Amino acid sequence: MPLTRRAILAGAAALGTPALAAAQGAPIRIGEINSYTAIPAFTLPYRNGWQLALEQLNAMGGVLGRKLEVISRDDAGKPQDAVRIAGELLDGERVDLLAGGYLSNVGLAISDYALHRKRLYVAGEPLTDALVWEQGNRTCFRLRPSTYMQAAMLVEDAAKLPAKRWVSVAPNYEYGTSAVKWFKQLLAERRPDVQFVAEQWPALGRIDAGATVAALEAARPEAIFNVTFGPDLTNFVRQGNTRGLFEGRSVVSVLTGEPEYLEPLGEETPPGWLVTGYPVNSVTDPANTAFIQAYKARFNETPKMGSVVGYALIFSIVAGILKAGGTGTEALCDALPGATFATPFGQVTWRAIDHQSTLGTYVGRTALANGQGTMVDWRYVDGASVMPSDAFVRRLRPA
Amino acid sequence: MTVLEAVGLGKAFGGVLALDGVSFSVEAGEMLAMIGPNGAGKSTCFNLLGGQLSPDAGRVRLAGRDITGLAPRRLARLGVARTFQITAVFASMTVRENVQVALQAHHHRSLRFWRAAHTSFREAADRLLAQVDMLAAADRAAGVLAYGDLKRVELALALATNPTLLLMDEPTAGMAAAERGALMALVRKLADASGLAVLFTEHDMDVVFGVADRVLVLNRGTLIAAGAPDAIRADARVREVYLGATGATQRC
Amino acid sequence: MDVFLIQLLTGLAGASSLFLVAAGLTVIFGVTRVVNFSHGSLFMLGAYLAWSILTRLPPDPAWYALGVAGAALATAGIGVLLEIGLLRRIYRAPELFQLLATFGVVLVVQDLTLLIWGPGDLTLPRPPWLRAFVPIADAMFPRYDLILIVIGPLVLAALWLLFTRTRWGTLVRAATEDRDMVAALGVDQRLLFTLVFGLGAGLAGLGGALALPDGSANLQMDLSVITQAFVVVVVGGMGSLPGAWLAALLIALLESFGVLLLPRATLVLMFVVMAAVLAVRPHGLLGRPQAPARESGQSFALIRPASAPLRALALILLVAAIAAPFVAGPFLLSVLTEALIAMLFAASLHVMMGPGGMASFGHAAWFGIGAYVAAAAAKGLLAPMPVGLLLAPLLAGVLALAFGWFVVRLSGIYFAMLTLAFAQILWAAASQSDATGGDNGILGVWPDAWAQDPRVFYAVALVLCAGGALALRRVLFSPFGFALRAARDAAPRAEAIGLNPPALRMAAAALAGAAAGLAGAVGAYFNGSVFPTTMSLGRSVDALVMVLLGGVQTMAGPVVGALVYTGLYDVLIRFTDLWRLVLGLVIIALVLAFPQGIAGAAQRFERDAAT
Repeated sequence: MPLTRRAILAGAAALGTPALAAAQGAPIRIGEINSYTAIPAFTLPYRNGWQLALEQLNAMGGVLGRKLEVISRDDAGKPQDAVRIAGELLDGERVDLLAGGYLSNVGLAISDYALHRKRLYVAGEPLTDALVWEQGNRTCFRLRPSTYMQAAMLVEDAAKLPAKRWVSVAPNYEYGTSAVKWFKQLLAERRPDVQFVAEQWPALGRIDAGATVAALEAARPEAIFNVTFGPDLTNFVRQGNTRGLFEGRSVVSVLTGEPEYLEPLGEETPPGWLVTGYPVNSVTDPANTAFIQAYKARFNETPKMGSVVGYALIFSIVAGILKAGGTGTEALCDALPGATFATPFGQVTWRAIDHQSTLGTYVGRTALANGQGTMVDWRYVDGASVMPSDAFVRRLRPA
Repeated sequence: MTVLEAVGLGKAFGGVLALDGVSFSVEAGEMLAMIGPNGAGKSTCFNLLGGQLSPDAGRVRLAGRDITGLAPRRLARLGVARTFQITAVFASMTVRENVQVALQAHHHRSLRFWRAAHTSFREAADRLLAQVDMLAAADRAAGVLAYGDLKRVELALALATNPTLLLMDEPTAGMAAAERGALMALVRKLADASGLAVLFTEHDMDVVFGVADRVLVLNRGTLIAAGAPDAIRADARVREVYLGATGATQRC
Repeated sequence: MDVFLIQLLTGLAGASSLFLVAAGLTVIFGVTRVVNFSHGSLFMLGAYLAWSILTRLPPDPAWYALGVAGAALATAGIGVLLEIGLLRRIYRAPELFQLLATFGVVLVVQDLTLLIWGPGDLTLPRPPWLRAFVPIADAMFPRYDLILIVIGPLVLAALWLLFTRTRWGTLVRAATEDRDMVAALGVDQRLLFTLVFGLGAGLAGLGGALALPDGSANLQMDLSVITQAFVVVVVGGMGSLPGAWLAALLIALLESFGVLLLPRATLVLMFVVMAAVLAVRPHGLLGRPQAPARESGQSFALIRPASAPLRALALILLVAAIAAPFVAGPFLLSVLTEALIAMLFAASLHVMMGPGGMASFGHAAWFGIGAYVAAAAAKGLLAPMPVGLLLAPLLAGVLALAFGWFVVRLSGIYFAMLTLAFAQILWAAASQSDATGGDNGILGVWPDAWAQDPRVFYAVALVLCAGGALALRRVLFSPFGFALRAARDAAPRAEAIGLNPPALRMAAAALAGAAAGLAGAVGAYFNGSVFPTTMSLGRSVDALVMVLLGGVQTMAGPVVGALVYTGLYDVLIRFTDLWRLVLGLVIIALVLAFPQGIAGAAQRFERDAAT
């Protein structure tokens, strides 16, 4: 597995630390918490991802000569349980650091607890901006592109659309409201002539798709900004297709290009949507290809976005360990900012200013091929290119 | 002294007039029996007196004070106690506890949150239970008593509130013949001793004529006769209603 | 005007879907008095079964109808199995106990569905006739929605015919009014109940199957539909089919127009509607007061203070609990602390449900209020922990008293649903309000420096939670507790001795709210953060499960239930991905083995052994 070896050796060489051929010494233990039973569609591929990373790293002698272990726990999607489990991992299992998270509130709860316990927490999936901004702290790092970043990535192409009358449809909770807020704000900066004439806020998981679609149609928009995902997205697309909501209109949609959300749409995938996602079936660069092949060989299925997150999460942590030369919390918190690591999407860095990684995502258009949805006309957008100014960040992030 | 006075009581359900122009009074120490065929309106009348229902017409006075339409718990505080046709005791408590609750309520001690309830009014409860001959069962669950025993516990509950008027809705229903006499004799004793006015309904004529001082006869919502037991027994209208024109004896 | 017409038609289609689910639920409740929490699971199974069947059939309308019917029948069959295997054995149990059993079923079905069909959302490929539209008022209206609009009234009519023109249907209606009388008339009650449950399940399955083309078969369906179904049933009146239809219409239309006028209100609209309806008609639109169970005496078992052996056991446990900080590591201490919080929470609900006779589906509201008050005290007032711990129960208690004043006229399931509505409205407010931090909650709610050592905090939790539970127990054995139980056991009799049942219940609600608020505050300092999820339906269900598991009729019940449930949950979630399956099976097993709850069974065993 050339990528990983190269990355490790490159990282090791950069630090001048030799990587030993065989693993010796106490294992490095990562305590991982995620909502395995609450959202299996994401978390099962995610788990496959970090397992693959683990196996690859250990097959090559581990990290700093030590075996890498992940002790994983289910939090059932409840923040209070996540905190208790984090305690168990730190005190009972004696892990060196905490990682994981899917739901934003769980991520925030673990981040706060980790800060309280003065231990490192590397969040994988939680998207809320607050995790690195309003509630950002020294010991918390977040891998995935945030809600802000997702919106910013789409705005570039959205601004090029001729549409002036927009509507938004987003799930009625923080993720939805933030996505819409940022998109509107960033779009307005580039296109002051744009106006949002209607908004829909379906309750998460309980969209009344028919009524929502009809309400949006009634506003006679030229473009639609969609933040719904999962079953809500499926309902929305189906009703939208039948009622012709998307005909002759531009649609910008967050996360829809990810295989988890694209696959269920099947032959009803609406073509031409501007989306963020992961064109797993058409990426050809070496980093991606190596990962996809290894994943397919190991798990007999194509990876999803969650798989990439899980896989990259391990490497993002290992980069810090290598740079710090150990697993002490203070050393890691000093080492991670600025550390670089390899992911299937390319090289990624941990930003010093807000502990957000520069992992980006792909922006492209949806299309229908062989009765399945795919992404076409895509390009990779580096996270670093869609960050707000440092002054902006400093205003939000507590000192 | 007149303890209870009912004047022109009327109550309709839907279009049906259950009670119409019923007037009577009960004196202190008196046992007044209300009899009549099924559906005559006895229970309705009781519910009006006990506050479970409000009359459409008429007034009720307790020792001169107008108590028409007052809620049952107000009436309880004013000295009206009742037993129910379908016996209701507190099934999740023992017999003694049942009486204790009543005593606590009567003495305004129910809003005590900290004191152990089973010590509160224990002796007084035992005394009441002894009066109704249920002391032996004091620690048994009230919910599993035999029907006759339940009636006696209910009586103790009613007496716990130190009433001046006791309304008993079919107090001996479901009891064996011997028990009935005993229960009503007990009530008679209590009435004589404390001046308690008792208004009760009954189907067993032996019981009625055994203890009642006066008898009221209700039929189809109206009072058709009132007076001493012997007079009632002889009253032609009563005989017709109960016994039929041929004069054959009939148990209701 | 066009928009109006489209939303009207959309609402009508939605009403049909809602009605199908609610119809089954209301029929089941009307006859068997079972609060079928697993009704959503049956809906979900209907969708999944329909997917499996329809993806194997040719895509034309006749086959589709057949496939849908097949899925509905299969779901009916599952319902029958459920009834025979589980519910039939627990009809004699106290009323809400069956809720616990159905909760176990929900858990089991969730994991089984995941195992059988996998984690992804399953969509049905739609042939052209399912995607077709009809031009109406300048818009494209889905033809399938038109079909749905027709199906609702058709099913209503079919059910109406079934219940009024067949002998079986008449028996069902009689049983809805007075099932004991029907039994006394010699009708085979068991078969009646089985068939009713099967019918209800079949209707749920039909609803799920019909929902498939417009969406997907996914693992969130059960929970997202059950709340709606309950609201519709309650608004319509438990046991009333026409009521369910009316309510479905009302709610679907309100939601359909609601998205036009108040898009942000999606979280709470149906709860506000339910509260409004219940305020005016406490038994729902067309509901009638439930016939009281005839042998009402039986449902209230004798409550005694624990006997000597049980007291000794409790003392030993208390000593062990006090000794824990000296022997247990920080993780075990954190589990124990959590168990203590759960214990107080359950004990507070028990005050209302047991002696108070008021089942609550929204008890987490007070827990959450307490948590947020503590958070506000810590972060807003920058006050030390004791202040938060004092203010939380105070404010929660006052609010509970006020809430009690509004709802004390209601009873039974209507009261329970109103508490749910209140909790959901609070939850929505907390999620959408900046003052409470919205969905991102309030962080950094840590104990004072002196209490940050887990052992010290555990001691604080022990004093407050165990102390609180003991105090509640003492109150329940005080004259107030007796009066409260008297009001529950026989309200008219209680009134006749001068008690005021509504006032007593209000006081009980205030007490329960305060205790729950205290538990919430301790929880806030323990977790370090407060989120709207502290008031979620899931938390309220947790409390219900703990109380029912332990047994509503004993004072030790909530304690036992809390310890068993938290212990089971914490252990299972650590060891297996299939923890829901195992937990569900364990709960079902416990329900079958101990119909009075665990503590109730212990008490009965002890009493039987003594005689």
